[in-house]
Amino acid sequence: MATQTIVSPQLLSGVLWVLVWAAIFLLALVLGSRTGRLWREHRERQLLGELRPAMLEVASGEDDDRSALTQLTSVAPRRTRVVDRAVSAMLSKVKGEPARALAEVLRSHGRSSWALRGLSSRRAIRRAYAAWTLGLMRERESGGKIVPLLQDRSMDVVVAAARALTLIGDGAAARPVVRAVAPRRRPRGLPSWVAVESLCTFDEPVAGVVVEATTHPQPSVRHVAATVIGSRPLPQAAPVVRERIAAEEDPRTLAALVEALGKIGGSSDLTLLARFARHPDETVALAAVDALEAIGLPSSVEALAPLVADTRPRPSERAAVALTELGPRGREQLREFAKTPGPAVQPATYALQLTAMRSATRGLD
Amino acid sequence: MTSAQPSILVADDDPDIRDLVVFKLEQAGFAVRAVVDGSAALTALEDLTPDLVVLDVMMPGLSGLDVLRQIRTMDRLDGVKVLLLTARARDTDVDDGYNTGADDYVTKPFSPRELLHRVNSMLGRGR
Repeated sequence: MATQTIVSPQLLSGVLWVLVWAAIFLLALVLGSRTGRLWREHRERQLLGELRPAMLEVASGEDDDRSALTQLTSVAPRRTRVVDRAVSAMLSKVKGEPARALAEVLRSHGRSSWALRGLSSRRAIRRAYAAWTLGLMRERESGGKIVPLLQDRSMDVVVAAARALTLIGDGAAARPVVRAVAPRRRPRGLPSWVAVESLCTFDEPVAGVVVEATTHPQPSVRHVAATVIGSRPLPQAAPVVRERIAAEEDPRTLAALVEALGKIGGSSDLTLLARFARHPDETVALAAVDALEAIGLPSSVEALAPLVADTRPRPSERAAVALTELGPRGREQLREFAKTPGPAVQPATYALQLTAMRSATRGLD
Repeated sequence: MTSAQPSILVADDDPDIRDLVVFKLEQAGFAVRAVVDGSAALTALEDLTPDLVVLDVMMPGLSGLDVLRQIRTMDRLDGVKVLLLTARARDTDVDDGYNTGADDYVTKPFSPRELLHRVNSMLGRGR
């Protein structure tokens, strides 16, 4: 027997009206919030447009009478958020006196105390933004307050803190940065490349901390130290690098040490580097070839020449290309290899062709 | 651009940097034209022979180094000086810049005053 469901017409009509009004209300809400957002954005663009000449004057260091600075510091309190965002963006791109003047704008709007409070916020994004803002303002005294964030549970905060410390540039943060370097294959901690960037930018004292880090139990920290020694560079670390090369077991760190020696070493290191160019790990061998080229002495030609006959294609080609960079003697040596049958023919020919192509592009002989 | 004022072409995709460099150089009396990327720089150079080109290295599409390579193959632009203005500050990046044919290299963040000194010195102009 079929069951008949009866809905009263009044109830049906009532439900329909509720649905219609709910739809209208939602539509109005969406349109209203969108219009509001567009209006706010328009107002912000207008405001920033009005202040743009003042901002450029301050950022370019042309504001001799400080009238542009006064214009930026005296905006209405409800507008400071928008102005500060634009000032922060500009601040990350300039240094020197203009950066100090732009930081003054942020300070006058209370950003310094806002950022200091934000360092202990429960929200990671707030902590990161607070650290970054303090970094942009380059206030040395804030460095000590940012340092604890290098051990934050959020990697974004750790990176923001390291970059803020890099902008401040105080070498006193070197040790905490080294301590924060993430072990390999661990998601938490400071990525190596950010640590290298910081340690290469900090002012002294950094050398002592970096040299000490070459003996750290963690390979990732030793790798950072070796990279910094070569990139900064730290010539005073040469004796330690020679010592560490003999003891290092991690291939990536060994390669970084060898490369560093190329930047800070001299003629007495050619024999050692030539030996490492025969290392079974190709990364180490390639780093040694690069190091021999980087030393760039006439005697580097003698050290590199035998490596062109290496049976591994990459080290042999790299050695051949390095010889092209070592002047007429290097190129003469390659021409000899190219016409003498043997394993050096192919890499030598490749390097000579590459040089010819590059010279043509540069419009040289 | 009149011949009395040294002319400069600026190519940078960052509007803040672009506006700032243009402002600083115009204040110093240069005739400046700005473009937003490498392709636009090459297009501008078809009918313009500036005294100096300020190039950002990392731009969408053609990079600053690509533009520089093209400039160095054009006979018409033989004497044009090129200054690279870039965030790439490693030794190897600087070497790449000079090896490609740059005359000078300034890293970001930069000091607008230092940039102006470099430009003046490249163009043999005292301030």
